[in-house]
Amino acid sequence: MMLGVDNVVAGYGEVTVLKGINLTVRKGEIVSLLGANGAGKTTTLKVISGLLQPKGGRVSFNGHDITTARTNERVKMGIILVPEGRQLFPRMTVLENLELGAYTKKARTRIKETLHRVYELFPILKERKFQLAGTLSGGEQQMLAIGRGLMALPELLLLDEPSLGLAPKIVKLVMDAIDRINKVDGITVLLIEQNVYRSLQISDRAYIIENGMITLEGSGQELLNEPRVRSAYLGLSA
Amino acid sequence: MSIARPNFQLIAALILAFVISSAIAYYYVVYVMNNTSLLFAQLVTSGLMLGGIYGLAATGLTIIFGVMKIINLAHGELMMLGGFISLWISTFLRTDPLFVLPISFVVLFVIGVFFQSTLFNSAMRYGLNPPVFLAFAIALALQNLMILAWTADVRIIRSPLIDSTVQVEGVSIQLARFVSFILAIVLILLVKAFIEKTMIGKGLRAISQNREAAALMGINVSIVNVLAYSLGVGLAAIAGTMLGMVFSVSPLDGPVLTSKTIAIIVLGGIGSVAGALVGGLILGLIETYVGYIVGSGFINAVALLTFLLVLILRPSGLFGER
Repeated sequence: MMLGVDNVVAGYGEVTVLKGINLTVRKGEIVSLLGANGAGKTTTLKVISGLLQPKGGRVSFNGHDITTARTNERVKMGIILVPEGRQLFPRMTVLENLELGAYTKKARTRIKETLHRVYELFPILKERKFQLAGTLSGGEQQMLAIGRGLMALPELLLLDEPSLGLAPKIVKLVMDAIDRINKVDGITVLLIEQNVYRSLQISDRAYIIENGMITLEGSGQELLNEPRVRSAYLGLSA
Repeated sequence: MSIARPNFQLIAALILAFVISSAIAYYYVVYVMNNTSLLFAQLVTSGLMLGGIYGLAATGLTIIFGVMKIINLAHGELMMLGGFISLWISTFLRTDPLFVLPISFVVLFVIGVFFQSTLFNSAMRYGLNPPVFLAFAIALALQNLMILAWTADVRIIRSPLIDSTVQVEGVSIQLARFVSFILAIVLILLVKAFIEKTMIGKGLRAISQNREAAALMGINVSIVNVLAYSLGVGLAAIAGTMLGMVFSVSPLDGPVLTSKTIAIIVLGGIGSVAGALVGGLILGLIETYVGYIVGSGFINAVALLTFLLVLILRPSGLFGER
Protein backbone atom coordinates (compact mmCIF):
# COMPACT_ATOMS: atom_id res chain seq x y z
CA MET A 1 0.00 0.00 0.00
CA MET A 2 1.43 3.31 -1.12
CA LEU A 3 -1.03 5.73 0.41
CA GLY A 4 -3.23 5.07 3.41
CA VAL A 5 -5.86 7.47 4.67
CA ASP A 6 -7.09 6.21 7.99
CA ASN A 7 -10.27 7.51 9.59
CA VAL A 8 -9.42 11.12 8.73
CA VAL A 9 -11.58 13.89 10.16
CA ALA A 10 -10.98 17.36 8.76
CA GLY A 11 -12.66 20.68 8.07
CA TYR A 12 -12.38 24.44 8.08
CA GLY A 13 -12.85 26.23 11.40
CA GLU A 14 -16.03 24.96 13.04
CA VAL A 15 -17.21 23.14 9.92
CA THR A 16 -16.32 19.47 9.67
CA VAL A 17 -16.16 18.31 6.07
CA LEU A 18 -14.58 14.87 6.36
CA LYS A 19 -16.20 12.65 8.96
CA GLY A 20 -13.85 9.72 9.01
CA ILE A 21 -12.48 8.90 5.55
CA ASN A 22 -10.72 5.61 4.82
CA LEU A 23 -9.03 4.96 1.53
CA THR A 24 -5.92 3.32 0.15
CA VAL A 25 -3.97 3.63 -3.06
CA ARG A 26 -1.59 0.89 -4.20
CA LYS A 27 1.49 1.46 -6.29
CA GLY A 28 0.77 1.72 -10.01
CA GLU A 29 -2.97 2.24 -9.70
CA ILE A 30 -5.29 4.93 -10.96
CA VAL A 31 -7.86 5.49 -8.25
CA SER A 32 -10.83 7.83 -8.69
CA LEU A 33 -12.58 9.75 -5.97
CA LEU A 34 -16.11 10.57 -7.08
CA GLY A 35 -18.87 12.53 -5.44
CA ALA A 36 -21.13 15.56 -5.60
CA ASN A 37 -19.94 19.13 -5.00
CA GLY A 38 -19.21 19.70 -1.34
CA ALA A 39 -18.88 16.00 -0.55
CA GLY A 40 -15.26 16.45 0.55
CA LYS A 41 -13.17 15.40 -2.47
CA THR A 42 -10.94 18.48 -2.59
CA THR A 43 -10.62 18.51 1.19
CA THR A 44 -9.37 14.90 1.06
CA LEU A 45 -6.64 15.87 -1.42
CA LYS A 46 -5.73 18.91 0.69
CA VAL A 47 -5.20 16.65 3.69
CA ILE A 48 -3.11 14.20 1.66
CA SER A 49 -0.91 16.99 0.23
CA GLY A 50 -0.49 18.68 3.62
CA LEU A 51 -2.26 21.94 2.80
CA LEU A 52 -4.79 21.15 5.52
CA GLN A 53 -4.06 19.58 8.90
CA PRO A 54 -6.64 16.91 9.81
CA LYS A 55 -8.40 17.11 13.19
CA GLY A 56 -8.17 13.36 13.57
CA GLY A 57 -6.99 10.23 11.87
CA ARG A 58 -3.79 9.26 10.16
CA VAL A 59 -2.19 9.59 6.73
CA SER A 60 0.63 7.27 5.73
CA PHE A 61 2.82 7.10 2.66
CA ASN A 62 5.07 4.16 1.79
CA GLY A 63 4.88 3.02 5.39
CA HIS A 64 5.74 6.38 6.95
CA ASP A 65 3.27 8.32 9.07
CA ILE A 66 3.03 11.71 7.35
CA THR A 67 0.01 13.11 9.21
CA THR A 68 1.93 16.11 10.51
CA ALA A 69 4.52 16.46 7.73
CA ARG A 70 4.62 19.80 5.95
CA THR A 71 3.68 20.22 2.30
CA ASN A 72 7.26 20.76 1.14
CA GLU A 73 8.37 17.58 2.92
CA ARG A 74 5.61 15.59 1.22
CA VAL A 75 6.64 17.02 -2.15
CA LYS A 76 10.16 15.70 -1.48
CA MET A 77 8.66 12.25 -0.79
CA GLY A 78 6.88 12.38 -4.14
CA ILE A 79 3.31 13.39 -3.29
CA ILE A 80 2.37 16.03 -5.82
CA LEU A 81 -0.99 17.79 -6.01
CA VAL A 82 -2.20 19.42 -9.22
CA PRO A 83 -4.77 21.67 -7.55
CA GLU A 84 -8.26 22.60 -8.61
CA GLY A 85 -8.31 25.72 -10.77
CA ARG A 86 -4.69 25.04 -11.90
CA GLN A 87 -3.09 27.65 -9.59
CA LEU A 88 -0.35 28.56 -12.04
CA PHE A 89 2.05 31.46 -11.58
CA PRO A 90 0.31 33.79 -14.02
CA ARG A 91 3.10 36.33 -14.47
CA MET A 92 5.78 33.79 -15.17
CA THR A 93 6.44 32.08 -18.48
CA VAL A 94 5.41 28.51 -19.25
CA LEU A 95 9.03 27.46 -18.93
CA GLU A 96 9.48 29.20 -15.56
CA ASN A 97 6.33 27.48 -14.27
CA LEU A 98 7.74 24.12 -15.34
CA GLU A 99 11.13 24.90 -13.78
CA LEU A 100 9.44 25.73 -10.49
CA GLY A 101 7.72 22.36 -10.68
CA ALA A 102 11.20 20.84 -10.45
CA TYR A 103 12.10 22.87 -7.34
CA THR A 104 13.25 19.94 -5.20
CA LYS A 105 16.90 18.91 -5.43
CA LYS A 106 16.13 15.48 -6.79
CA ALA A 107 13.85 16.83 -9.50
CA ARG A 108 16.33 19.57 -10.42
CA THR A 109 19.04 17.11 -11.36
CA ARG A 110 16.78 15.48 -13.94
CA ILE A 111 15.09 18.62 -15.18
CA LYS A 112 16.18 18.22 -18.83
CA GLU A 113 14.80 14.75 -19.40
CA THR A 114 11.57 15.46 -17.49
CA LEU A 115 11.07 18.62 -19.51
CA HIS A 116 11.54 16.59 -22.68
CA ARG A 117 8.91 14.10 -21.50
CA VAL A 118 6.42 16.87 -20.61
CA TYR A 119 6.86 18.47 -24.04
CA GLU A 120 6.29 15.04 -25.57
CA LEU A 121 2.99 14.66 -23.69
CA PHE A 122 1.86 18.23 -24.38
CA PRO A 123 3.68 19.58 -27.46
CA ILE A 124 1.74 22.86 -27.27
CA LEU A 125 3.67 23.76 -24.10
CA LYS A 126 6.93 23.69 -26.05
CA GLU A 127 5.51 26.11 -28.61
CA ARG A 128 4.32 28.42 -25.85
CA LYS A 129 7.32 28.13 -23.54
CA PHE A 130 8.17 31.84 -23.49
CA GLN A 131 4.55 32.96 -23.13
CA LEU A 132 3.21 34.14 -19.75
CA ALA A 133 1.12 31.41 -18.13
CA GLY A 134 -1.71 33.86 -17.46
CA THR A 135 -2.22 34.35 -21.19
CA LEU A 136 -2.77 30.66 -22.05
CA SER A 137 -6.18 29.20 -22.90
CA GLY A 138 -7.96 27.10 -20.28
CA GLY A 139 -6.91 23.83 -21.86
CA GLU A 140 -3.29 24.91 -22.20
CA GLN A 141 -3.29 26.07 -18.58
CA GLN A 142 -4.52 22.65 -17.46
CA MET A 143 -1.80 20.94 -19.50
CA LEU A 144 0.74 23.25 -17.93
CA ALA A 145 -0.59 22.49 -14.45
CA ILE A 146 -0.25 18.75 -15.05
CA GLY A 147 3.13 19.24 -16.71
CA ARG A 148 4.33 21.30 -13.75
CA GLY A 149 3.19 18.49 -11.44
CA LEU A 150 5.15 15.94 -13.50
CA MET A 151 8.31 18.07 -13.30
CA ALA A 152 8.48 17.22 -9.58
CA LEU A 153 8.96 13.51 -10.47
CA PRO A 154 5.87 12.38 -8.55
CA GLU A 155 5.40 8.93 -7.17
CA LEU A 156 1.80 9.74 -6.39
CA LEU A 157 0.06 12.35 -8.51
CA LEU A 158 -3.09 13.88 -7.03
CA LEU A 159 -5.28 15.46 -9.71
CA ASP A 160 -8.15 17.71 -8.67
CA GLU A 161 -10.74 18.11 -11.44
CA PRO A 162 -8.31 18.27 -14.35
CA SER A 163 -11.07 18.47 -16.98
CA LEU A 164 -13.20 21.13 -15.28
CA GLY A 165 -14.42 23.71 -17.77
CA LEU A 166 -12.56 22.32 -20.76
CA ALA A 167 -13.89 21.69 -24.28
CA PRO A 168 -14.74 17.99 -24.99
CA LYS A 169 -11.81 17.61 -27.37
CA ILE A 170 -9.36 18.91 -24.75
CA VAL A 171 -10.98 16.74 -22.06
CA LYS A 172 -10.18 13.68 -24.17
CA LEU A 173 -6.59 14.85 -24.66
CA VAL A 174 -6.11 15.45 -20.92
CA MET A 175 -7.70 12.15 -19.88
CA ASP A 176 -5.61 10.24 -22.42
CA ALA A 177 -2.49 11.94 -21.08
CA ILE A 178 -3.39 10.90 -17.52
CA ASP A 179 -3.81 7.33 -18.71
CA ARG A 180 -0.40 7.44 -20.40
CA ILE A 181 1.29 9.04 -17.39
CA ASN A 182 0.09 6.02 -15.42
CA LYS A 183 0.69 3.25 -17.94
CA VAL A 184 3.92 4.48 -19.56
CA ASP A 185 5.62 6.45 -16.79
CA GLY A 186 4.36 4.23 -13.98
CA ILE A 187 3.09 7.12 -11.88
CA THR A 188 0.36 6.28 -9.40
CA VAL A 189 -2.66 8.57 -9.75
CA LEU A 190 -5.44 9.62 -7.39
CA LEU A 191 -8.03 11.43 -9.48
CA ILE A 192 -11.03 13.63 -8.75
CA GLU A 193 -13.20 14.00 -11.81
CA GLN A 194 -16.56 15.43 -12.85
CA ASN A 195 -16.35 13.28 -15.94
CA VAL A 196 -17.39 10.15 -14.06
CA TYR A 197 -17.83 7.85 -17.04
CA ARG A 198 -14.41 8.49 -18.56
CA SER A 199 -12.60 8.43 -15.23
CA LEU A 200 -14.18 5.09 -14.25
CA GLN A 201 -13.04 3.72 -17.60
CA ILE A 202 -9.39 4.51 -16.95
CA SER A 203 -9.48 3.76 -13.20
CA ASP A 204 -8.41 0.54 -11.53
CA ARG A 205 -10.55 1.33 -8.53
CA ALA A 206 -12.84 4.10 -7.35
CA TYR A 207 -14.40 5.47 -4.19
CA ILE A 208 -17.71 7.28 -3.93
CA ILE A 209 -17.71 9.98 -1.27
CA GLU A 210 -20.96 11.40 0.11
CA ASN A 211 -21.25 13.92 2.93
CA GLY A 212 -17.69 13.38 4.08
CA MET A 213 -17.85 9.58 4.17
CA ILE A 214 -16.89 6.85 1.74
CA THR A 215 -20.13 5.11 0.82
CA LEU A 216 -19.07 2.85 -2.02
CA GLU A 217 -15.87 1.31 -3.23
CA GLY A 218 -15.01 -0.99 -6.10
CA SER A 219 -13.19 -1.51 -9.35
CA GLY A 220 -13.88 0.92 -12.17
CA GLN A 221 -15.86 -1.67 -14.07
CA GLU A 222 -17.90 -2.69 -11.01
CA LEU A 223 -18.93 0.87 -10.33
CA LEU A 224 -19.80 1.45 -13.98
CA ASN A 225 -22.34 -1.37 -13.61
CA GLU A 226 -23.52 -0.42 -10.13
CA PRO A 227 -27.16 0.80 -10.30
CA ARG A 228 -26.69 3.60 -7.76
CA VAL A 229 -23.71 5.01 -9.60
CA ARG A 230 -25.46 4.70 -12.96
CA SER A 231 -28.49 6.68 -11.84
CA ALA A 232 -26.88 9.22 -9.49
CA TYR A 233 -23.61 10.01 -11.29
CA LEU A 234 -23.93 8.83 -14.85
CA GLY A 235 -27.57 9.77 -15.47
CA LEU A 236 -28.16 6.37 -17.05
CA SER A 237 -30.97 3.94 -16.33
CA ALA A 238 -30.14 1.62 -13.47
CA MET B 1 0.61 42.41 -6.08
CA SER B 2 3.69 40.44 -6.68
CA ILE B 3 7.31 40.61 -7.50
CA ALA B 4 6.74 41.06 -11.16
CA ARG B 5 8.48 41.62 -14.43
CA PRO B 6 8.88 45.31 -15.23
CA ASN B 7 5.60 46.82 -16.23
CA PHE B 8 6.66 48.83 -19.26
CA GLN B 9 3.57 51.01 -19.27
CA LEU B 10 4.30 51.98 -15.72
CA ILE B 11 7.97 52.66 -16.43
CA ALA B 12 6.92 54.85 -19.37
CA ALA B 13 4.50 56.75 -17.11
CA LEU B 14 7.27 57.28 -14.57
CA ILE B 15 9.68 58.55 -17.20
CA LEU B 16 6.95 60.94 -18.28
CA ALA B 17 6.64 62.11 -14.67
CA PHE B 18 10.40 62.70 -14.68
CA VAL B 19 10.28 64.75 -17.87
CA ILE B 20 7.26 66.83 -16.83
CA SER B 21 8.50 67.60 -13.32
CA SER B 22 11.94 68.48 -14.68
CA ALA B 23 10.45 70.75 -17.34
CA ILE B 24 8.41 72.64 -14.76
CA ALA B 25 11.40 72.88 -12.42
CA TYR B 26 13.66 74.05 -15.25
CA TYR B 27 11.18 76.78 -16.18
CA TYR B 28 11.01 77.99 -12.59
CA VAL B 29 14.68 77.82 -11.78
CA VAL B 30 15.92 79.41 -15.01
CA TYR B 31 13.17 81.82 -16.08
CA VAL B 32 11.34 82.76 -12.89
CA MET B 33 14.23 82.67 -10.41
CA ASN B 34 16.76 83.79 -13.05
CA ASN B 35 19.40 81.18 -12.29
CA THR B 36 21.80 79.56 -14.73
CA SER B 37 20.98 76.21 -16.31
CA LEU B 38 24.16 74.97 -14.63
CA LEU B 39 22.39 75.27 -11.29
CA PHE B 40 19.53 73.26 -12.70
CA ALA B 41 21.98 70.54 -13.75
CA GLN B 42 23.27 70.61 -10.18
CA LEU B 43 19.75 70.01 -8.86
CA VAL B 44 19.19 67.10 -11.25
CA THR B 45 22.41 65.33 -10.24
CA SER B 46 21.80 65.81 -6.51
CA GLY B 47 18.21 64.66 -6.86
CA LEU B 48 19.02 61.53 -8.84
CA MET B 49 21.77 60.55 -6.41
CA LEU B 50 19.49 60.94 -3.41
CA GLY B 51 16.86 58.99 -5.35
CA GLY B 52 19.18 56.02 -5.76
CA ILE B 53 19.38 55.67 -1.96
CA TYR B 54 15.60 55.95 -1.68
CA GLY B 55 15.30 53.31 -4.40
CA LEU B 56 17.48 50.91 -2.42
CA ALA B 57 15.39 51.35 0.73
CA ALA B 58 12.19 50.92 -1.28
CA THR B 59 13.55 47.75 -2.92
CA GLY B 60 13.75 46.21 0.54
CA LEU B 61 10.20 47.25 1.36
CA THR B 62 8.82 46.00 -1.95
CA ILE B 63 10.40 42.55 -1.53
CA ILE B 64 8.95 42.21 1.97
CA PHE B 65 5.55 43.23 0.70
CA GLY B 66 5.70 41.00 -2.38
CA VAL B 67 6.40 37.87 -0.37
CA MET B 68 4.71 38.46 2.99
CA LYS B 69 1.92 40.82 1.84
CA ILE B 70 2.79 43.00 4.80
CA ILE B 71 3.69 46.69 4.72
CA ASN B 72 6.72 46.81 6.98
CA LEU B 73 5.81 49.87 9.04
CA ALA B 74 9.14 49.62 10.88
CA HIS B 75 11.15 50.11 7.67
CA GLY B 76 12.27 53.68 8.42
CA GLU B 77 13.28 52.79 11.98
CA LEU B 78 15.26 49.82 10.71
CA MET B 79 17.02 52.12 8.22
CA MET B 80 17.98 54.41 11.07
CA LEU B 81 19.04 51.49 13.23
CA GLY B 82 21.28 50.35 10.38
CA GLY B 83 22.74 53.86 10.19
CA PHE B 84 23.43 54.03 13.93
CA ILE B 85 24.96 50.57 13.97
CA SER B 86 27.29 51.56 11.11
CA LEU B 87 28.21 54.75 12.96
CA TRP B 88 28.81 52.85 16.17
CA ILE B 89 30.89 50.07 14.63
CA SER B 90 32.97 52.45 12.52
CA THR B 91 33.73 54.59 15.58
CA PHE B 92 34.52 51.52 17.63
CA LEU B 93 36.74 49.89 15.00
CA ARG B 94 38.11 53.27 13.83
CA THR B 95 37.41 52.41 10.21
CA ASP B 96 35.64 54.21 7.45
CA PRO B 97 31.84 53.66 7.53
CA LEU B 98 32.05 52.60 3.89
CA PHE B 99 33.80 49.39 4.99
CA VAL B 100 31.24 48.84 7.73
CA LEU B 101 28.33 48.62 5.26
CA PRO B 102 28.54 44.82 4.87
CA ILE B 103 28.71 44.36 8.67
CA SER B 104 25.70 46.58 9.15
CA PHE B 105 23.86 44.58 6.46
CA VAL B 106 24.65 41.32 8.25
CA VAL B 107 23.66 42.65 11.69
CA LEU B 108 20.29 43.88 10.44
CA PHE B 109 19.83 40.69 8.40
CA VAL B 110 20.20 38.70 11.61
CA ILE B 111 17.79 41.02 13.43
CA GLY B 112 15.39 40.46 10.51
CA VAL B 113 15.74 36.68 10.88
CA PHE B 114 14.92 37.01 14.55
CA PHE B 115 11.88 39.27 14.02
CA GLN B 116 10.48 37.14 11.20
CA SER B 117 11.02 33.68 12.61
CA THR B 118 9.64 34.54 16.03
CA LEU B 119 7.30 37.52 16.02
CA PHE B 120 5.99 37.77 12.45
CA ASN B 121 5.81 34.03 11.95
CA SER B 122 3.29 33.63 14.74
CA ALA B 123 1.42 36.85 13.96
CA MET B 124 0.95 35.79 10.32
CA ARG B 125 -1.17 32.84 11.42
CA TYR B 126 -3.93 35.22 12.43
CA GLY B 127 -4.40 36.96 9.11
CA LEU B 128 -2.91 40.01 7.46
CA ASN B 129 -3.69 42.68 10.08
CA PRO B 130 -1.81 41.41 13.16
CA PRO B 131 1.61 41.48 11.43
CA VAL B 132 1.06 45.08 10.32
CA PHE B 133 0.21 46.10 13.90
CA LEU B 134 3.25 44.16 15.01
CA ALA B 135 5.45 46.09 12.57
CA PHE B 136 4.05 49.33 13.98
CA ALA B 137 4.81 48.17 17.52
CA ILE B 138 8.36 47.29 16.47
CA ALA B 139 8.71 50.78 14.97
CA LEU B 140 7.67 52.43 18.25
CA ALA B 141 9.88 50.18 20.34
CA LEU B 142 12.91 50.69 18.10
CA GLN B 143 12.47 54.44 18.01
CA ASN B 144 12.44 54.68 21.80
CA LEU B 145 15.28 52.21 22.24
CA MET B 146 17.39 54.22 19.78
CA ILE B 147 16.66 57.43 21.67
CA LEU B 148 17.77 55.67 24.88
CA ALA B 149 20.91 54.35 23.27
CA TRP B 150 22.01 57.29 21.16
CA THR B 151 19.77 60.22 22.28
CA ALA B 152 17.50 62.04 19.85
CA ASP B 153 20.36 64.08 18.37
CA VAL B 154 20.90 64.26 14.66
CA ARG B 155 24.17 62.55 13.66
CA ILE B 156 26.21 62.68 10.51
CA ILE B 157 28.12 59.58 9.48
CA ARG B 158 31.39 60.95 8.18
CA SER B 159 33.33 58.88 5.74
CA PRO B 160 36.82 60.43 5.41
CA LEU B 161 37.41 58.40 2.26
CA ILE B 162 34.65 60.05 0.30
CA ASP B 163 34.31 63.29 2.21
CA SER B 164 35.14 65.59 -0.68
CA THR B 165 33.57 67.26 -3.66
CA VAL B 166 34.56 66.99 -7.29
CA GLN B 167 33.73 69.36 -10.14
CA VAL B 168 32.45 67.92 -13.40
CA GLU B 169 31.75 70.51 -16.13
CA GLY B 170 31.01 73.09 -13.45
CA VAL B 171 28.61 70.82 -11.56
CA SER B 172 29.92 70.00 -8.12
CA ILE B 173 29.32 66.45 -6.97
CA GLN B 174 29.66 65.29 -3.38
CA LEU B 175 31.74 62.15 -3.58
CA ALA B 176 29.69 60.54 -0.77
CA ARG B 177 26.52 60.95 -2.82
CA PHE B 178 28.13 59.67 -5.97
CA VAL B 179 29.59 56.54 -4.35
CA SER B 180 26.32 55.83 -2.51
CA PHE B 181 24.39 56.22 -5.72
CA ILE B 182 26.57 53.83 -7.69
CA LEU B 183 26.56 51.30 -4.86
CA ALA B 184 22.77 51.54 -4.52
CA ILE B 185 22.24 50.95 -8.23
CA VAL B 186 24.61 47.97 -8.23
CA LEU B 187 22.85 46.46 -5.21
CA ILE B 188 19.40 46.93 -6.76
CA LEU B 189 20.56 45.25 -9.97
CA LEU B 190 22.06 42.39 -7.93
CA VAL B 191 18.76 41.90 -6.09
CA LYS B 192 16.92 41.95 -9.40
CA ALA B 193 19.25 39.33 -10.85
CA PHE B 194 18.88 37.25 -7.68
CA ILE B 195 15.09 37.08 -7.83
CA GLU B 196 15.01 36.52 -11.57
CA LYS B 197 17.82 34.04 -12.11
CA THR B 198 18.35 31.93 -9.01
CA MET B 199 16.08 29.10 -7.95
CA ILE B 200 15.45 30.63 -4.51
CA GLY B 201 14.67 33.93 -6.21
CA LYS B 202 12.18 32.17 -8.44
CA GLY B 203 10.67 30.60 -5.34
CA LEU B 204 10.36 34.09 -3.88
CA ARG B 205 8.48 35.28 -6.96
CA ALA B 206 6.34 32.13 -6.94
CA ILE B 207 5.24 32.80 -3.36
CA SER B 208 4.44 36.40 -4.24
CA GLN B 209 2.13 35.20 -7.03
CA ASN B 210 0.47 32.21 -5.37
CA ARG B 211 1.46 31.15 -1.88
CA GLU B 212 -0.41 27.83 -1.83
CA ALA B 213 0.82 26.75 -5.26
CA ALA B 214 4.36 27.66 -4.21
CA ALA B 215 4.08 25.28 -1.25
CA LEU B 216 2.88 22.59 -3.65
CA MET B 217 6.11 23.00 -5.65
CA GLY B 218 8.03 21.92 -2.55
CA ILE B 219 9.12 25.46 -1.68
CA ASN B 220 9.62 25.90 2.06
CA VAL B 221 7.40 28.94 2.44
CA SER B 222 8.46 29.80 6.00
CA ILE B 223 12.16 29.87 5.10
CA VAL B 224 11.53 32.07 2.07
CA ASN B 225 9.47 34.41 4.27
CA VAL B 226 12.44 34.75 6.61
CA LEU B 227 14.78 35.33 3.70
CA ALA B 228 12.58 38.01 2.15
CA TYR B 229 12.14 39.91 5.41
CA SER B 230 15.80 39.74 6.37
CA LEU B 231 16.99 40.73 2.92
CA GLY B 232 14.59 43.67 2.91
CA VAL B 233 15.75 44.79 6.34
CA GLY B 234 19.42 44.35 5.41
CA LEU B 235 18.95 46.58 2.36
CA ALA B 236 17.24 49.14 4.60
CA ALA B 237 20.34 49.16 6.82
CA ILE B 238 22.61 49.95 3.90
CA ALA B 239 20.28 52.67 2.64
CA GLY B 240 20.07 54.12 6.15
CA THR B 241 23.86 54.29 6.44
CA MET B 242 24.08 55.98 3.04
CA LEU B 243 21.51 58.56 4.14
CA GLY B 244 23.67 59.21 7.20
CA MET B 245 26.69 59.79 4.96
CA VAL B 246 24.77 62.12 2.62
CA PHE B 247 22.55 63.87 5.20
CA SER B 248 22.15 62.57 8.71
CA VAL B 249 20.52 59.94 10.88
CA SER B 250 18.21 60.46 13.83
CA PRO B 251 15.92 58.10 15.74
CA LEU B 252 13.10 60.53 14.98
CA ASP B 253 13.48 60.28 11.19
CA GLY B 254 12.03 56.75 11.02
CA PRO B 255 8.34 57.53 10.42
CA VAL B 256 9.08 60.02 7.64
CA LEU B 257 11.33 57.50 5.90
CA THR B 258 8.71 54.79 6.25
CA SER B 259 6.12 57.00 4.56
CA LYS B 260 8.58 57.98 1.85
CA THR B 261 9.43 54.38 1.00
CA ILE B 262 5.74 53.43 1.00
CA ALA B 263 5.04 56.36 -1.34
CA ILE B 264 7.84 55.16 -3.63
CA ILE B 265 6.63 51.59 -3.95
CA VAL B 266 3.07 52.75 -4.56
CA LEU B 267 4.42 55.12 -7.21
CA GLY B 268 6.54 52.43 -8.84
CA GLY B 269 4.07 49.58 -8.53
CA ILE B 270 4.11 47.40 -5.45
CA GLY B 271 6.30 44.34 -5.78
CA SER B 272 8.38 45.61 -8.69
CA VAL B 273 12.10 46.11 -8.06
CA ALA B 274 12.52 48.19 -11.21
CA GLY B 275 9.54 50.26 -10.09
CA ALA B 276 11.15 50.83 -6.69
CA LEU B 277 14.30 52.18 -8.36
CA VAL B 278 12.50 54.46 -10.79
CA GLY B 279 10.05 55.59 -8.10
CA GLY B 280 12.98 56.37 -5.80
CA LEU B 281 14.75 58.41 -8.47
CA ILE B 282 11.61 60.43 -9.14
CA LEU B 283 10.96 61.14 -5.47
CA GLY B 284 14.60 62.17 -5.02
CA LEU B 285 14.33 64.59 -7.94
CA ILE B 286 11.01 66.12 -6.97
CA GLU B 287 12.17 66.56 -3.38
CA THR B 288 15.29 68.36 -4.55
CA TYR B 289 13.34 70.63 -6.90
CA VAL B 290 10.80 71.49 -4.22
CA GLY B 291 13.53 71.98 -1.63
CA TYR B 292 15.21 74.55 -3.84
CA ILE B 293 12.18 76.31 -5.28
CA VAL B 294 9.72 76.26 -2.37
CA GLY B 295 12.00 75.74 0.61
CA SER B 296 13.56 72.84 2.41
CA GLY B 297 10.77 72.79 5.00
CA PHE B 298 8.44 71.37 2.37
CA ILE B 299 10.63 68.42 1.41
CA ASN B 300 8.91 65.89 3.62
CA ALA B 301 5.47 66.95 2.42
CA VAL B 302 6.41 66.03 -1.15
CA ALA B 303 6.37 62.29 -0.60
CA LEU B 304 2.98 62.41 1.03
CA LEU B 305 1.55 64.67 -1.67
CA THR B 306 2.93 62.35 -4.35
CA PHE B 307 1.38 59.43 -2.51
CA LEU B 308 -2.01 61.17 -2.43
CA LEU B 309 -1.80 62.15 -6.10
CA VAL B 310 -1.03 58.58 -7.13
CA LEU B 311 -3.92 57.26 -5.07
CA ILE B 312 -6.28 59.79 -6.65
CA LEU B 313 -5.07 59.32 -10.22
CA ARG B 314 -4.39 55.55 -10.40
CA PRO B 315 -5.57 53.85 -7.20
CA SER B 316 -6.26 50.35 -8.49
CA GLY B 317 -3.80 50.52 -11.36
CA LEU B 318 -0.81 50.87 -9.12
CA PHE B 319 -1.86 48.46 -6.41
CA GLY B 320 -3.04 45.62 -8.59
CA GLU B 321 -1.78 44.32 -11.86
CA ARG B 322 -5.09 42.84 -12.91
